[in-house]
Amino acid sequence: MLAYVAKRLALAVGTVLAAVVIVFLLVHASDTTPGAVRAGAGATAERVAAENEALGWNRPLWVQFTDYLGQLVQGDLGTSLVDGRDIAADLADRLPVTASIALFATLLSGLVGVFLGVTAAVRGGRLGRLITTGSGVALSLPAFWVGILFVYLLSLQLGWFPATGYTEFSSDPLGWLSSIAIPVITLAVGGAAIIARTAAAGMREALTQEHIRTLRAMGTPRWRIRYVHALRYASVPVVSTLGIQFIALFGGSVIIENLFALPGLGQASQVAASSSDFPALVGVVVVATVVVVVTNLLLDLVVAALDPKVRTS
Amino acid sequence: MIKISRLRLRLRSSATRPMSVRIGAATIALATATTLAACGGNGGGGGGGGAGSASAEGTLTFAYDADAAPTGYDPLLYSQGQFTFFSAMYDALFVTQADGTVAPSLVTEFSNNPENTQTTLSLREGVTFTDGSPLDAELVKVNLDRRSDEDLEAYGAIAPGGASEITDVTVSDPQTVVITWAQPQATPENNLVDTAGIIVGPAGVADPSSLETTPDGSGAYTLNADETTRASTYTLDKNDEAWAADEWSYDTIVFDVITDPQALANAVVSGQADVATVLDPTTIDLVEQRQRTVSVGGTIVGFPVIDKTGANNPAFASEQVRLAMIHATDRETLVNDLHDGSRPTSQLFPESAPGFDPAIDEEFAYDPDRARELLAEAGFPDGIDVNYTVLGQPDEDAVAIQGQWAEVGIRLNFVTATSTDQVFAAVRTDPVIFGPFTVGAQPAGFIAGVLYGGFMNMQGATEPEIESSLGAALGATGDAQEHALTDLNRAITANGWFVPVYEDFTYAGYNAESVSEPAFAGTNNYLVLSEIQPAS
Repeated sequence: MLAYVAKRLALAVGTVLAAVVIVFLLVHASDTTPGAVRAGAGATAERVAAENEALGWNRPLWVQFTDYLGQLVQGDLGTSLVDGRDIAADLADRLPVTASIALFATLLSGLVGVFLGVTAAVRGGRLGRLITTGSGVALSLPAFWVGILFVYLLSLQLGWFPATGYTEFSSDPLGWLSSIAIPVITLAVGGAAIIARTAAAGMREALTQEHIRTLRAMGTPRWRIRYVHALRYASVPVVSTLGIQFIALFGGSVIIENLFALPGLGQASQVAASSSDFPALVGVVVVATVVVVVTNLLLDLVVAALDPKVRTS
Repeated sequence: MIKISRLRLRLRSSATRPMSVRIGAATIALATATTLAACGGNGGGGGGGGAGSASAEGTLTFAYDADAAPTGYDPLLYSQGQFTFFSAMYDALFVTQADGTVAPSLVTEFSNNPENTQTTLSLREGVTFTDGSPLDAELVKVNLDRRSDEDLEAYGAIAPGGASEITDVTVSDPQTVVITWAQPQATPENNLVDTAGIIVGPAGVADPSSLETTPDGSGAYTLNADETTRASTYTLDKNDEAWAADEWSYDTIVFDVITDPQALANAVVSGQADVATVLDPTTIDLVEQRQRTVSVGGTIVGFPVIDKTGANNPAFASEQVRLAMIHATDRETLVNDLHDGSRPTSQLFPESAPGFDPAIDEEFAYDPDRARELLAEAGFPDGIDVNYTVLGQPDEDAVAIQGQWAEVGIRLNFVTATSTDQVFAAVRTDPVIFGPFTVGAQPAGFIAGVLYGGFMNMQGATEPEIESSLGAALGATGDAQEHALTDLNRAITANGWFVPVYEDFTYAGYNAESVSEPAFAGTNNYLVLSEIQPAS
């Protein structure tokens, strides 16, 4: 297991490094320069050149990269070209917003999805078909449309949750929970549908396995066969899907953060991209990559713990 | 039997371990979520904690449709429209009041010399900035001496070469400053109002880069950096020591940036925001079902004619050709089909601005036969080609007008640009551009700084009728100015310098249970923040 962990860890570090190299090169391949962004629209070529010189843009590429990597290792993501703010501090403020919503949406979709999927597989019949059809419909609904619908129902009509905005946990825990409720529910709709289908398929397959038949023959209680042995068999693809879902929700947060005016990473990336704020853009990519890689690493370890075949393969 | 027991044993042991792993993972996940949230720190406090809780006593929550300070807190980098936000942290020499009049703010008295070429300003005493330093004449001079910095959008008109150029600023005594104008200015206060008149503190002026992160004003509020997340939430706390603190109602003002039009409307409908602006026209019905709205005109959508000398398209040197475009535009149909709530117009001046004249709309109304006659008189009986550069797809207005103009022989050709630079460069090559233009409460200023003396006249075309009425409008007061403005307004359309299509309105929504009706700054499309009061 230790060798497996070491291997995955090395792969994770390599992935982050590759992402940093790619985004660094992409920024340098852009048709604008940090000097032009810093100097603003309408600046003379001389001023742009002077800004580029001051920012070190004219140094050899490898020198710039090693400098940036050195800063990165120390947790320094630089300062914004647009307003000079500290990018690491800004992203540290935003990360919890995006991460908490993605995490809770993943957990909620896991709970609901597993319950529905297992019910569909175990009960079958009309209920099973209803769940399967319903999850198909839920999968086809765009998140922004679902969000608007929930805002109308849960906020504008019932007044249960705020329609927009984010409240810090430290200032008001209940307010925080309330402020992320609709975004989390919105994201969980599609997620739960995927998990329900995955769990249902996994359970159906599990219930036909030889060891399950053996357990039945041994007189093991039905609930134990279903909810311990079969569910464990079905949990490997479910956990994998949940991990992928967290990554997708984390990376695809722009639309939801816009819709609910949430100050998260998605919003930061949109602002950075629209203002050509290179250091901020690179910072968002690096942070998002690290989160995704760490999630993948944890996912691999959890799957390996659940399924010994994975770590021995 | 032994075999089965081993199997059961193995199943049990292996089942137990993943279960603990899963419970552990779930615990870690929950702990992580809680920690993440707890470490949220400055994640932004906008939006309030629950439905309808944003209007806590002493807090005004103001939702904006765009970032209030995308390039930091130097107010001079921004146009007049940003004054709503900056007015909380900065004071200006003059401010536009809700009734549209311009009133002294950091100035207590001002006077012109007989020729209207010099203005003497007496400054308010007892005004201090964030570092405690006082307002004085030297500081005003240092501020205005930044006018040659081309990045300062607020100083466009008073910059060298600007329509209301300042040539000199002199300090007479610690509280008096004398401004010398390149041209007579009968209403100098209009050049130093709102954003254009903001005075930045000595630290900010000495090092403008410090304003990227730290405001330096004398306003009634200071930025709470800990509760601010750029492009998302700006929290301002009241400074009770400020000279005008008593004129402001709220202890805290929170500016939430909500760029999604639906979310912006939802924020005010649900009570998350007390005020929300600018509302998208498609959401006004929703807002008005639950809350209230206020609106103001002042934005004229149309085609400024760039090539009035015919340098790039010889046909445009002809006044008849330019007038043909005005008569070929069916504004009523376009507004009815696409812009319910807007006002069709054939003049540049907004309905509520001085100089507006309904007769101009009648005289230059849609008349395709007259358009054909004018083209024929100009020597173009077969029509003309008009190139218009667009980025991506042309908008629906331009497409509709293309069809209308085609009926009289004016062929509007869309040239697709591949970059914004190409679009900006088109003002040097295309005969017309198209878009919404904020003419606002001071149309003469717009004409002086943009239409006649700015980028809409890149070729430096001259027109005596416009020039004389513009000079009269800038150099006169009272009825004489009103008369001159009307002449100026008519001269713009009659000479075909601008092809107006419709006047657009800016909407703001507000929660009548929490705040009184907000007011725009006259016909400017921004709200007077200091006027917003708790509902009685």
